[in-house]
Amino acid sequence: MSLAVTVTDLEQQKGAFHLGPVSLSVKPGSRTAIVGPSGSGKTSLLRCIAGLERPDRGAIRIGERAVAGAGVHVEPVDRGVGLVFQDGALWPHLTAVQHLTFAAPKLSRADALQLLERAGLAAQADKKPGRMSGGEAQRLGLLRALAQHPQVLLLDEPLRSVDVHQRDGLVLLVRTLCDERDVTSILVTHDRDEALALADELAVMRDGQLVEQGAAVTLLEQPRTAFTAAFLRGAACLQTSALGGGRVRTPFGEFDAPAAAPAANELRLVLFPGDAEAHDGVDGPEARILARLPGEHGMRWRCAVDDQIVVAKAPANPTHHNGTTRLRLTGSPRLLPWQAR
Amino acid sequence: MRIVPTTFSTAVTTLLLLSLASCGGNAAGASAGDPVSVYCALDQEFSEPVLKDLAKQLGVELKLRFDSEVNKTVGLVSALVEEKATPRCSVFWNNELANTVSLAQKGVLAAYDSPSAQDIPQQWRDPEHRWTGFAARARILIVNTKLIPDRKDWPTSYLDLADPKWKGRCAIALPKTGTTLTHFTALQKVIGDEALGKWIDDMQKNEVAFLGSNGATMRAVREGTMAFAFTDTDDFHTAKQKGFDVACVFPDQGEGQIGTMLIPNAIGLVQGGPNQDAAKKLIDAILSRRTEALLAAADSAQIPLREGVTGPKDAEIKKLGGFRQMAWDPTWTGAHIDTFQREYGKRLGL
Amino acid sequence: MTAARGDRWTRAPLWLALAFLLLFVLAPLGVLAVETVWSADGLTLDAWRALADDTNALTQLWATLRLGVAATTLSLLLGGAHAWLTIGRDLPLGRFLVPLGVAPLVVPPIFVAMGFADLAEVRGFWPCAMLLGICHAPFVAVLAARGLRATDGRAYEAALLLRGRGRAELWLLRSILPELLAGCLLAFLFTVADHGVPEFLTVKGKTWHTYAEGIFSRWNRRAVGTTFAELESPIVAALPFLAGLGCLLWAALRLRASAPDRGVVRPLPRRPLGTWRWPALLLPLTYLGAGIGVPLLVLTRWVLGSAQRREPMGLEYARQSYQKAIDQGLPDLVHSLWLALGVAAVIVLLAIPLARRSARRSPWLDLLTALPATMPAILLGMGLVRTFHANPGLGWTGWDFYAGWGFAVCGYAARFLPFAALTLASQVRRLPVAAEEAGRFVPRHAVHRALRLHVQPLLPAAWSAFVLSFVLSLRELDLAVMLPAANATAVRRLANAVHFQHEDWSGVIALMLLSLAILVPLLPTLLAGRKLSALS
Repeated sequence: MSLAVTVTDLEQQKGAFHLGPVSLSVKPGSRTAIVGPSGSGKTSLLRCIAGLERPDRGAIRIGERAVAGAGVHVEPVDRGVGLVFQDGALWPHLTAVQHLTFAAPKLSRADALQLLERAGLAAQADKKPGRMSGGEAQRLGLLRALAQHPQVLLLDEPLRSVDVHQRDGLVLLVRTLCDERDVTSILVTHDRDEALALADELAVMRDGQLVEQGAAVTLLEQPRTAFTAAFLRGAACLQTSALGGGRVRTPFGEFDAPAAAPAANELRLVLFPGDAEAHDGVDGPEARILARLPGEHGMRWRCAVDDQIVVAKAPANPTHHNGTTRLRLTGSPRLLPWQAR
Repeated sequence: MRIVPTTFSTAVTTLLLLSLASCGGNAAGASAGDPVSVYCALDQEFSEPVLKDLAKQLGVELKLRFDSEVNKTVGLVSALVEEKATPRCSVFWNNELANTVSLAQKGVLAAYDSPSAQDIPQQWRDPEHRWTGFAARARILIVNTKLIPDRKDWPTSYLDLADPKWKGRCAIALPKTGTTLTHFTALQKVIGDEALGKWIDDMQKNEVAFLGSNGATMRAVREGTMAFAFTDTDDFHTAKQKGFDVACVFPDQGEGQIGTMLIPNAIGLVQGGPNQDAAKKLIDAILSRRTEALLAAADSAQIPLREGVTGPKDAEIKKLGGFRQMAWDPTWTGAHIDTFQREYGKRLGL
Repeated sequence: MTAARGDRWTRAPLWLALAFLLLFVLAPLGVLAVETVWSADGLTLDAWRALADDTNALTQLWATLRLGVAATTLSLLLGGAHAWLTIGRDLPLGRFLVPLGVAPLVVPPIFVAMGFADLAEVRGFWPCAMLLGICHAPFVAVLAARGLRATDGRAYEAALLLRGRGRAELWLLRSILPELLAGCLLAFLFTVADHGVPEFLTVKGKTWHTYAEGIFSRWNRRAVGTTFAELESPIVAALPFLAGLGCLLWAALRLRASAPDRGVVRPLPRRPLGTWRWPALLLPLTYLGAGIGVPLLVLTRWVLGSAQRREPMGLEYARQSYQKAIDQGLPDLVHSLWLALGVAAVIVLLAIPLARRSARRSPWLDLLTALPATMPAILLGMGLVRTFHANPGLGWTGWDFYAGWGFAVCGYAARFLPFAALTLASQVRRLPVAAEEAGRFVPRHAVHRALRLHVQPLLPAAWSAFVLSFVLSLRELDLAVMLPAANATAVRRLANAVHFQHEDWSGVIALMLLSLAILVPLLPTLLAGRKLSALS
């Protein structure tokens, strides 16, 4: 089965920022999110796929067709993609209906109205974007992108300007419409929740590089890098130092480095919330208690260890209140490289 | 869909091109059927009806361009100089003489000895027939009769402008264009460099107001800002027509004095201009006695240069022979306008 | 349909506009510069030295700079204060006074000069500065009003809470400084470039001269033998000065445009004037009285017969004036109307592609389009005449482009293009780039997309640019004197007629011209149901 989108060794220089080389594969009908912190190059990658920017090197294929590469540049309109922009990027002088009928020449006004109604925008049909809320504008942006029946829907942080209480509705709309039309979607976001809500596949980016790619569940539960763990699950990543003989020193003691690990100095001790617990003893690193948080599985403390935040289980009967505590691991240590090579 | 690009780009280009093309005339060197192009420096209100009337009589089409008071006379003269290589004017009707002479000396005008001009005095005809003078104005002193009611007190000479008796009470136009420039340049020969320089110095000392035009000096007098001023007869006549308390003095009429300067209109055929045959016919008609009479009868009150042509109705504007004329040399004056401006311009802040 | 083919079509207007700039802005100035240096009687080092010693030229330059500064200060005081007192204030009649801020712009400066000259002695430096200051105050008024409207009321309220009213007002003033600066620069440029008013005042006894007058005077002397070196050396000497002004203008407009997008702002809260409420009304009334009232009053008096003593003033005389006006000036008025409409249409068509290009990709284009605004119109006129009088390249066609209205339209369009192009470029910068990018996914022809997504959002600004170009063309005197076809326009005829004591019928023509300048922009605005303030 051919892939919906294939990015091969894509590179782009933009001022001081270098994107790539990046390779990415997206299966047909899948929902992929490219996640990463701001400035990691994910939006540039998306814009290259959309055809709004040209890569310096590498190639992009959409379906069977090469759309970017050596001597090839297919205009956005001819790529069979739709793009939902960050803040809607609506046309300020057109009404909602006009947005759809202009974007999709074959769409009649009646069809457009029907589509708007499905998206809960019937009342906004003849309104211009200036009189819509952020959520409404983004819904319209989505309908505009889908009105042309693209093979691939690209979404650039679509929930960013949407109120929290409107997000679920929009998420549902995106998923429903994409499912109905069997559209492959690629989302770009720095928001883990947005990514998990809209995608099943994740591609994590950092500093212009793809860190890792895989099923969302896998990456959440078994990240292969400390960066992914930190980004997706808010894990604390404590520095380690190599001791020789395949051992590393961490604030929680000395451990064996995992087999096939990179240089020990690049390993991090990764602590998911609850992987450590506070205790009254004298073992383990000292931590400053920042906050006490009630949770489903009992009280948790947010503690600072070095420059990392560790969410640790609170002791059953804490006896001291001077703001510091000691931490220990609740399970076996999770030592991961910071970034995949 | 396919129509759109054609419509759009055509709309853009045609709108521009239409604006460019819609009103262009024919270029120089055109055929006999083309309109006769006339550049006219005489006030449009006076000259336009005359020209249109003549065009009707002759059955020729005219293309008229009038001058702006802002660049009196010289705007069209400048244009003719610029256009020398590609003339688009057939006939140049100037409202004074010296610049026309200057144009002739630059080779802009062609020789044409009009049969209508045979009775015009020789002094107003170019020996080489490149220009012909007709219908003149006189350089006179306009006096505010409310400020100076007694005729005996009226100024009588150009030298009165330098008389301390009139300190700060009289005006003259800046000699940068028009008849005043011709007047000053001619004076350079008539009274000599030294006397002219002294007169200008004395006027400056006497706080004479050097204004922008003869119309301005007339206005200053008619409104009582100044007691008297140098101006042309047509300006005086209009002020009088409008009911202002003004009188006209033909200066320097006494024995041994230089006399009053007479500056005729001048007409010339432009070298290589369009439709030369019709242009010559038009020149003949403009130089006719009838036209001179029309211009005398009009508000411009031009003084006919020929005996027997009816002059202005206004008795204050004297007829030819009724006053002592200043003897000046148009050819010399035309050749020295530039040097006058160079020598005296800076002194007058020009 | 292919995108590349579509792009060719959308680029056509840009190429056309660039060709226009090349032909009617760069070529005329280039020709002047080249001829000055390389023609047979061209510029020499001696001529430059002579220029440095030419006390007349230096005096004129100094007088012009002083005049520019004095007039601009007055423009700032009148125009700035008008906006300051009418936007977001409780000034009586404020709602009506706001759109009137732009109104004096429709009155040609020469009318204002004629009006004041009819009522009082105006020959000295200060009266001249006052006249030009009044005439060009609308630039400051309009831009300051735009700045105040675009200022976020919440930010003002924050300043008010933190620092008190006085400091908040100072903050507000600072926040519209770019607009004030741009307005002042426009006023300064128009003042130093004005030839008509200083020349008119010479008629009234002004004995000092400005640089524009000096340039024109030398140009006229060319006819009787002045060399190019003498003629154009001051022009060349002025170019760095003018280029400096151009850069400043560009910087000011860029500054204004690069201000954060203030499209969605809360208007300023109503700022009470307190006990000054009624006295403050005097200032806008003085401004409008001087800019519109006096010219209208004097023109009306002329029509009624004030400029003659033969007959009593009255309606009978006015009837005769009207009849003479129809006989004498109606064709000129009609020419003016068509010329101004043509110029405005051409300018808008050229300005849109230029504005888009400069706002999105080539900001240096701003500088190029601003060039004609930074020089006296008379200088541009000379360049145009020098370049086109021989119909270069057209000789074989037999078409006299130079003498036709097309040349006049192009000359005027070159002169006023900067105002439209810069206004539109500023508007383009305010539109989100992403919305245009969204258009690249729409499966329609590139031209259709460009019209719908690039041009349509600019239409309100394009209409303002059209009106501005129309009004400026209608009142332009300097180019009317220089370009052959434009000789037959109403303003040129009026300037002449007043010299020849035809105040009565020229008053009628002047009033008709003003009516055109007001009605033509006003009627479509009202018919389209837009607020009058949109014009300002």
